[in-house]
Amino acid sequence: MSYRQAKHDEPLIYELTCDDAKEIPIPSDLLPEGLVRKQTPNIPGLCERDLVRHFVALSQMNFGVDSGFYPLGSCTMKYNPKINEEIAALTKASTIHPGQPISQIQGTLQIMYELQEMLAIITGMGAVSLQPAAGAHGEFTGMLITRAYHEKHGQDRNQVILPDTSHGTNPASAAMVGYDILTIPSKEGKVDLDALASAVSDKTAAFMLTNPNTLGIFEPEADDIADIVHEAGGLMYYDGANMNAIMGKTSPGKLGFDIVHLNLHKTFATPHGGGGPGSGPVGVIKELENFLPAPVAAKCGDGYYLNYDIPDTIGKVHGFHGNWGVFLKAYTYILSLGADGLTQASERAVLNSNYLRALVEKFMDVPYPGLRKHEFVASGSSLENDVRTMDLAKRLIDHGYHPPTVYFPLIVDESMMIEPTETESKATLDGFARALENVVNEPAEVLHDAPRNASVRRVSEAEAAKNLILSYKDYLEFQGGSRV
Amino acid sequence: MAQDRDTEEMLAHLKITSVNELFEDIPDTARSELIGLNNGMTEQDVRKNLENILDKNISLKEMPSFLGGGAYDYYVPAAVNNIVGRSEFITSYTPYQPEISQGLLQALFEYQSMMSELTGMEVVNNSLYDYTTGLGEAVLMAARLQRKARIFLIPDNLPVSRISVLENYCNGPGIKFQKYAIDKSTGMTNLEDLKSKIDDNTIGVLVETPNYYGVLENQVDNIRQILHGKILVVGADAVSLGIVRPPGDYGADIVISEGQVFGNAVNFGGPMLGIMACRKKHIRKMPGRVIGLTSDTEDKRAFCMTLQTREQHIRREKATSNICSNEALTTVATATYMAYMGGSGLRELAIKVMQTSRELANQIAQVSGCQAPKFSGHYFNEFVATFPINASKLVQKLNEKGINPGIELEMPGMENDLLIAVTDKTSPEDIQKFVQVLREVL
Repeated sequence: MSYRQAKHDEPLIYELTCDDAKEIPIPSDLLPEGLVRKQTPNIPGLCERDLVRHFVALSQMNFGVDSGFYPLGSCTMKYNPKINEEIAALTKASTIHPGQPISQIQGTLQIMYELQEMLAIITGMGAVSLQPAAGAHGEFTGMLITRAYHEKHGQDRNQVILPDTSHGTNPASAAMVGYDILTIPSKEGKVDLDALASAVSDKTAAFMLTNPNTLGIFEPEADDIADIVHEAGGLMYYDGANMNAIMGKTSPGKLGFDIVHLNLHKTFATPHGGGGPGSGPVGVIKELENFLPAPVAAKCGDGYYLNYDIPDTIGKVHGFHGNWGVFLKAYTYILSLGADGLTQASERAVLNSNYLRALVEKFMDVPYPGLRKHEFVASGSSLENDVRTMDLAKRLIDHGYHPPTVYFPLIVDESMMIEPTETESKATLDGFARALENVVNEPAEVLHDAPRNASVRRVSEAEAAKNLILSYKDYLEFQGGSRV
Repeated sequence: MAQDRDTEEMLAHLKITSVNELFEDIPDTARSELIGLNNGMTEQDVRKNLENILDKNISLKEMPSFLGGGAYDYYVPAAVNNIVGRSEFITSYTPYQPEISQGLLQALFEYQSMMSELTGMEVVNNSLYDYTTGLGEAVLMAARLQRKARIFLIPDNLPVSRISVLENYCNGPGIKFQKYAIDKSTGMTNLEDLKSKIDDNTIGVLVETPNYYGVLENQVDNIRQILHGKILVVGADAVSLGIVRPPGDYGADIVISEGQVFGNAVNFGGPMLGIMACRKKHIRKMPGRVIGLTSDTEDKRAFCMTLQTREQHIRREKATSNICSNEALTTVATATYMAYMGGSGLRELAIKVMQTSRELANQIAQVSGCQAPKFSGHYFNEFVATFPINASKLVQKLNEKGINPGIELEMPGMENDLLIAVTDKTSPEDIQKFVQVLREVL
């Protein structure tokens, strides 16, 4: 146990000494009385040296993929090649405005066009829009397309069906578009065809599925699922969060899906940025092409343009054209790996996952038999002495690992969802499995007391929710109140 | 390709000979390959390839540009780029496990604190995709606060693209939009018209200041009064708030702003940063992540995400929003930038760009046949000017002379108008060139 995270008592920015704030006079002819801000905003200005030291100290108290193994299930925390960052930072890439005429942005449009084409191949779809800014935003866009499609065909369908293993964003996205949600229970960790067959009706707008599902299990009856949904007149929606498992092996198009979103920040190695920016392109089959958000990048002769002429377009979902900075990184990644490299990435992701699962199931329950794809879910339900999966997660931190996803999916009791990704070595997986086994066997009091080696000890989320201290001002008020 | 030793050992451990055996659960009929994709390239070739393609772009650095309309090319200090380049921030994800993510959490808490001061609002979330989707989320939130009402009022100068996003966000729960007039001469809200449109079915109103014409709204107190208890959503420009009255000052319920301007490149309009602020009493109706200050078991100060029970990973279809991945890194850039500038730096910046935009408008107004600004209301860094010839023709001619003069407006009757913006990068030489080439082509 050699891991120690930096433990700085780093003050809040408001507590750092800064140059005395000058009161800056506003020239009297600039604004009328009613529009003027009387006081300078209370924002501390640090000198560059102190600013850099402050944020460097903070960064040292933050764990990223570059710090170590980050097997956060469903999030595909693979290593992100540095070339991607350098390309996106080029002036010719970053200092481009969406209001420039297309003659000045041919490079940008070419990359967007080619990325659309690449993603269409990878997903087996007819056309792709890059506009959605994140995976959930892609789901939302897909649901808008679903609604527009049914409306166009005079169909009044108000229900979206999904399995109980689905990501939380699925029902949330469908609900935002106005759909009622019908959740069907899984059978042996897979879609229950009978339950699906009895759930579909002339009210079914779409069935949302991720395949492999959130247990990491491939849904082998994908064809039958698609048939049931299509026969009822619904569309098949593919949540691409787990696309990293199947590149070059199968595709959502081949599996009978009509609409797909991808998470470029998962499968295509663009960094997660502490929560974003991501990018959630949406692909659709030919029949739905006319509903995509406008504009899409298009090619004419040797030139590229933005095509707004999409007959049944749902319109726009973003202020501009989506997260261009992220497109570039994904494009760079796909170009680097190519068809062979992407296929190998999925193969290694699946190999790593099955290997790690074989190690872990020696000392933890891994419910549901059979192969896994890119991730698997273990269960801490047989732990004793009031030890919970969360305690294992916290103790893993002390060993230098970012914890896996815990308590999702909901259908596994005390779940721990582990996604190693293809970029990790066998040595890392072996080390992690050893650490997890040690942790499982540690005394309850040690586990309850974890973590010890992170920058702070166990954090009280209950206290945060109770006190709601959401700014420095709140903090001062709270201290004033509590110290009286 | 030969198998590496790791692969061999793992296959042996699993007692299989080929990785293909791990894909046996995918039926043969469902198999497909990546036909049409090229094979991989070396990093050096990839770089060359990308640089060649990007060379076809003309960056804003190569051509004086006065383009705004929601994305602005402000100067990004080296220190900000450097800090945001820290890979501990870049390669982390949502801080679900607070103990190992304190650095990011503290940075985001500091962002909330500073943005709360700038907007004058009690609570700031962390974060939305951009200004426009922020407006969509704001209207949804407003509708949750006014459950019985179904109409939301928006200014009639909102561009079609923003209305489209709004409609896509709000059609689901059946919210309808109605437009109120922006005065043709002042460029500000027509109060009479706004007043006539408010009734029991009104959820609230969006007031943009500056609005899409760049005009600052000087009647916010009257608007607040007219609205009574309806929800006031203010769309504000973050840079302007250095010198312009903050929305918290005049009773805004929700504030939406664009954070790209603080420490982020234009990036062709993405990634951006949707800033959202609200009153604390409404926080349970707010979408998005929120960071709270708390303590650890040793009573040491610590941070974590809080109020997660509003969010999709817990509430599923009952969540306040579907948002999961957001714009966290852009938020870190914005926090860094704000602390780099400080309150007085932000004030100086705002004064500078306002003076620059005045200078540009004055210069354009001196060119025969040109009117700048078009509207009499006060403007910040952006204004509408009217030219004696069709705007798209003018843009084309000025492009040929090496400048990007502004953005065309789609509203009827504004065929000769351009929306023109400045930033702290706009130099006196840029202004001189604008006016010089304008004289040449007119």
